[in-house]
Amino acid sequence: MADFRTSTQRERWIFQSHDLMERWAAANQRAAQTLAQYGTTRLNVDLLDGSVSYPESMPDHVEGSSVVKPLSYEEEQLTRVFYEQKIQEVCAAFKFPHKIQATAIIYFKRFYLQWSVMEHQPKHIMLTCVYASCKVEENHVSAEELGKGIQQDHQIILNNEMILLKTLDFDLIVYAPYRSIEGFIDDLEDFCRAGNGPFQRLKELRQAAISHVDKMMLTDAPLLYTPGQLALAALHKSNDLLRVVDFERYLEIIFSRQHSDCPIEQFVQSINEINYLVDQLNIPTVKDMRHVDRKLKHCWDPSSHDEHNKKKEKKSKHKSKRTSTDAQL
Amino acid sequence: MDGEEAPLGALNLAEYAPAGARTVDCYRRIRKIGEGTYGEVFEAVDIITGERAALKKIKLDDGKEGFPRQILREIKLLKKLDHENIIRLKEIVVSPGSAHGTGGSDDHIYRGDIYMVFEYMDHDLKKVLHHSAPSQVKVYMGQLLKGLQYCHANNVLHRDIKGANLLITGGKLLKLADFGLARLFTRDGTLTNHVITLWYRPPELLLGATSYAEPVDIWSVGCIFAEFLLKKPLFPGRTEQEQLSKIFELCGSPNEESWPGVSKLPLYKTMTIRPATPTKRSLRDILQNFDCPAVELIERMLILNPSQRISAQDALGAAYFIN
Repeated sequence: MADFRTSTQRERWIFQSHDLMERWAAANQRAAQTLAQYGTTRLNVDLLDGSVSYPESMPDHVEGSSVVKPLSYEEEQLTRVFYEQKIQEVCAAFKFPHKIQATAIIYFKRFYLQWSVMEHQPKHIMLTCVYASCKVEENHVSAEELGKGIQQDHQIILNNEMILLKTLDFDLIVYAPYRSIEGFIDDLEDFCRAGNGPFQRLKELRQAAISHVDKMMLTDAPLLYTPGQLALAALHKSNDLLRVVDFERYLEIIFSRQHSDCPIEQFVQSINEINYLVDQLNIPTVKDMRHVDRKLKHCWDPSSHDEHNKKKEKKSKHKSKRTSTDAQL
Repeated sequence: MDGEEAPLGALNLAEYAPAGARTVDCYRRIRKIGEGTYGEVFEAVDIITGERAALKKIKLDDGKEGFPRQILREIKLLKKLDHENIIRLKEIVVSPGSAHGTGGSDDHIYRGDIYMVFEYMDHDLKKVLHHSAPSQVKVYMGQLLKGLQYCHANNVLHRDIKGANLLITGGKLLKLADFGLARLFTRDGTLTNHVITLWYRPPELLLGATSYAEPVDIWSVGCIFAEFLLKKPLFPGRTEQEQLSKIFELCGSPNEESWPGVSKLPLYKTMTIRPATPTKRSLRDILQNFDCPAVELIERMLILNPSQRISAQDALGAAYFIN
């Protein structure tokens, strides 16, 4: 953990709850204003240098007249969780290590702390996050390979790379709880050998904790707490289920060893807060996302909304005809 | 450019993304001052703060794989390192999306240029390497080793230590720069063999080793240290074969007794045919007119067997620095 203490992650990318909410709300409002003013939320991105400009007004758009509604704050939240879970699926399909998966998810979270999902397609940004994560973590996968594996044009992956890197301010090194878990498991082995429990079962505890972190990564916890706190929360939760060691005693030993300024009660509260966020996690299904996806598509490309209306009109005509026929009878 | 407003429709990125990168227009370029590993370097001034900076232009390749991974690696490492004897990366800036090639001082701005912005340093060590007083040499060597010790403590190898990559400001503060060949290492990793400029390259790399660590940088430091005293390069080879010959001439020929494992290095057989007769170490002879503690430290930095070479941390505790 020596590295984390002087990292940009600790210095710049750990927030208070209200800061996160302010940023998300600001991005959401900005996109809504853009929609009202230009008729679309899609921002133009220069592919080479990642610079961004306002969208061109849609041809028939009259300012303030749009019938397309922006996503709500809650709908954006749902969208982010959905695509973060997709990142996990993509990484699992490629058998990427947890480090790459975690790094990609953190990049995605940081990106959408500053942009709305209405401004840049999360489906594309997600892939670029995976690609950038592979590059940064020295796991060489070409954009072509990645694109092929998920039936996407590899150019889509490259198109958003510059804006992603700039939005991250090139803060590329990410510390994830997985490595912290390994450290604590090593420590717990010593704890067990000192007569505090059967270390043979630490393997189970480790695996359960890793699964718990997978869920944890989909919450806001990684933007609010340190990797060490997240790891301990995962181990604590997993130990509650498996009863491998006396975890309260272990925490006391850690704290006495570190002469921590932070009282143990406060730390236990953080652990409980983290696990509360995991308990509250609601991963939307494809079905749940159908309505939101449609709205998103309309924000992105309002002509798709017109198409939708035309179809409605056709149905209406047909009904009218049928009614007329009935009347004849 | 002074009175020019942002192009119509352009976002002020600073409003949108406080953490986002600025554009190169925040800087006024003064002059070109050199070439880094991957591109040109310019002296510049921050228009708002008046602070001087060095803009290092990133050469983009054909874009087939997007942002060059070597640059990402360098940025990643520099963001990780925070030490008074290591060059500080201030930010990354880009040029505006449109071309401005129509004359004036902005001729250099082209579409898609990206720059790493570093703190400005007055000059490199090459300017003073052959005419520094002994007391100044000790100051520079101390700072070099402190910076390097910090890198190694963070599992970062520099892999290109030479005069051109050691920058000096205010006549006395030295910093390690140009991390273009640097990388994180692990004990069991395999690394590329083709690193470190020839005159400062250690024998294990010349013999083809791909499993190496901190000692490769220490060898380079030893060469610099000797060059300070001799006022000329210690091992100025023109080819890899010649480089190795010059090393063995002064440091003795390696064998399994003095360097266990050396005969198994990939290029051992092909590169060491010439010195059929083992030569004895004579480095001390050419350094006999210099300060004993200095010579002693150089000897320990230039041991052929990398596992016996002194570490940066131990070097800082050597007699040379204590007196």
